[in-house]
Amino acid sequence: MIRRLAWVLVAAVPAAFLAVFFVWPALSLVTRGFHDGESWTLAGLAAVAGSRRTWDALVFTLATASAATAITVALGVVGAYVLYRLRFRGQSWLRGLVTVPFVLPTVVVGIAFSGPHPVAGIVLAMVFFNYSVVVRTVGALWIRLDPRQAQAATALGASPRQVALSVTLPSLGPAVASAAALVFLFCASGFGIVMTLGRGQYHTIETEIWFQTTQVLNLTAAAALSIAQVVVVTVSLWLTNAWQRRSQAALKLMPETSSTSAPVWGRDWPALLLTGVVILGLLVVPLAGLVLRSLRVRGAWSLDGYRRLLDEELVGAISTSLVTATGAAAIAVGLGMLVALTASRRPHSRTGRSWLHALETVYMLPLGVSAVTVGFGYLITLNRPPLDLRSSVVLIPIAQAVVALPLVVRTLLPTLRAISPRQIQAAQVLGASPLRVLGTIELPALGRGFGLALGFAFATSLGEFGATTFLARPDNPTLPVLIYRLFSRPTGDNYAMALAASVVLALLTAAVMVAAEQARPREVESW
Amino acid sequence: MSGLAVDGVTVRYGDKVAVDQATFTLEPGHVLALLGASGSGKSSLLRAIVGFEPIASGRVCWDGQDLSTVKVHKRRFGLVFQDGQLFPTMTVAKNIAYGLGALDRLTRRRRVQELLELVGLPGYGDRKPDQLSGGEAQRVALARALAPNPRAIFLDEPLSALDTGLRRRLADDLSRILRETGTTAVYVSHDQEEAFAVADSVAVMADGRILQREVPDELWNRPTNKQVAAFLGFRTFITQATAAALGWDGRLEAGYVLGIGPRSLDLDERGVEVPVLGQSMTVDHYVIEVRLPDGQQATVAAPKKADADHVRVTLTSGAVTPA
Repeated sequence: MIRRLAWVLVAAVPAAFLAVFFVWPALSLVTRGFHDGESWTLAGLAAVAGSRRTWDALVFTLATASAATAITVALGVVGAYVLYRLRFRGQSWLRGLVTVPFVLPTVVVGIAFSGPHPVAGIVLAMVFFNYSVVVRTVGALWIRLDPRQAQAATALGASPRQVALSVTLPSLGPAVASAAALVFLFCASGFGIVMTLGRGQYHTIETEIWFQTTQVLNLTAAAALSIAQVVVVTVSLWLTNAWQRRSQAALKLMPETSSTSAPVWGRDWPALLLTGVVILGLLVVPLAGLVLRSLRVRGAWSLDGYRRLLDEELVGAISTSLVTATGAAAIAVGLGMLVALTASRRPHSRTGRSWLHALETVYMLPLGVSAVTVGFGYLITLNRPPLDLRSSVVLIPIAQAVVALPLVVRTLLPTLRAISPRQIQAAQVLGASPLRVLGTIELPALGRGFGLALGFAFATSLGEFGATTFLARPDNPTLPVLIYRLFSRPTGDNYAMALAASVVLALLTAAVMVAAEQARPREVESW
Repeated sequence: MSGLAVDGVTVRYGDKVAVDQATFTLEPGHVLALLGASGSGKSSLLRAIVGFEPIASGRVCWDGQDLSTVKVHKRRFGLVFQDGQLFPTMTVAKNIAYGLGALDRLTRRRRVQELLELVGLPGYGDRKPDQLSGGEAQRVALARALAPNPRAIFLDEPLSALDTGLRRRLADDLSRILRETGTTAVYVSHDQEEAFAVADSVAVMADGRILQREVPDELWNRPTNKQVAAFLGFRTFITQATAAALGWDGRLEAGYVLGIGPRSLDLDERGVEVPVLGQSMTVDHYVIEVRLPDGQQATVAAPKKADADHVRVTLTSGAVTPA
């Protein structure tokens, strides 16, 4: 009983944090859509629903996200085959390369794709950004599929194509579906990408929220749009969860076996070729292009962009970014550890288990609710008593921590879940009190995920744009906010500086993630 | 009473009854084997006694004290899992010392050494669990469980993950170690030979119930019903008349039959001639399948293959079982 009470207290800390800094702002925002300051009304909502802009934004959001998801999944499954099921020299290096885009700030991704037509750029940028999600989610499952099922089918006379269609793909189905739902979620909340590439002509729900809030000051409309956004992402998050649970239950998995094979050109050339083209054309070229363009100023090779940045705002923005990201990472990892420890309890009763399941879902919610909603929610709730933090510097790290918290929990929880219950029982029988079990078994396991979680939180916070853009003060921007500001006023010098700052930010996040990946524990698989 | 008393313990998983009113007592220093097929509830019963499964009804007592309010980590029991469950982050010595509590370093080190010698792994203290073979890991697991001088230890199929030859050797070692240390133990197994090698007495479980608890000899000779007999390998049951016809010199009371097991019939030049139905081979002997005078089938263990279509056999033993 006392033990349960202790865990309730441990859970209460992150719960309180989330209640104040996520649920309250988000709920206030939702109420704003139904309340005009004097009475409850649907007028605001009706006005928004009747507006052509809204429908354009909604259609554009769903269309780009769907298209990008379809392309990403098609390319990603093939990529998973090449990078996980085949075996060749330099493969692990390629796997690393593929994951770089996912940790890049959306603003940087947007700028890297600013060449082609905006709509094509947006879709391609989303594919670029999410390719690794599919490759990694599907690949991690593929490498652990029991190869004997396919062998059984082959022995029964199935051709390689039949084996792929009848055995392999159905087994991968759940992972593919879950990756697709995640990608859709990320695409539908690709705020930074659309902000940089849409240039005011193309709007998703999120950029429309930003537009209504900061340009037109129509808070009711923004609130109504936020509700639409919440609905879209909640549905896809719910699907993700359902599919993930199915995929865990249905498959018999092996430890990573040596069932990979060397590539056979006659069999694998389409996959190899396609993946080669994707990696080169979609990943390498845009990034290399970004670097090269940052070195061109007014048609000549020059370091001017970088030089000007040094003179002006870059140093300040970098230090602001580093300071806020450090704060955010500390908050997110600290709370994330409490959440992971609570959510990894293994109660005997069914009600206990469903409570914990609900708890886990609640902490995943910030993943489903757009960062824009969070940032906007802060604007309307935390700027007056009882909690006036509008002028306080802690608001940005807090918002970034809210955004990073689900990633941290998803990184830490598997390390705890991987502890066999018998390990804990073995310790208990030897006389270890719950506290000693925590100290000698669980915390060391948690420690294994600590580095990756910290890196994830830090990198996400460094690149966070959606919430930060609402909260950063004009005289003291973070790096992504600065980049966006420079890029949206692309006079000659500004453009070069935006590119240069993007390269700097990309290098910063990539360095953090490369370091963090070194600490990735085996049991943490997906992104 | 002193020692372990299990009194009407029932374990349920939802609607399924895994252990049904199990009752037995175990005196200090004795080793009891819980024998049963997989799914018979033996592991659930063991885990219920240790405190990992909630008990739906009944009690577990030690020295007359009800343990229901005593937390697992305060019961002072030891437990050895099928797969060792050594802590992978700690060395062998740290694993063994885990349950020792607040002792000074010297005493602690001495105790670890003592146990490593006991289980036949002196000098293994600095290794990590992943550098051990399956058999070594189980020895360390045993040492770890014994180190804190538990009131009793519970072994949950400790050898079933090992290969056959090693299993026999370790079963003997285990038996020796438990005797040497005078440890009270409950040993769960599905393997009769292993159970008989280790235990002072054997309890046979099926469908969550303890069917019979006896010393091995008695269990072997007088199983309480056909189900127990069948589990021990007696699959053919014959009457007094057939038994006498096969040369058996015992007498069955009314209402009993004789169970024929794999070692009940011996090849005997002066025995009764029975037709051979088939032959097969095991590791160290042939198994000849024969038809008994009453038409039932039974097997005879033979050192070499039968080359005729008849063999001569004598019935030397059997399990006296209620009909």
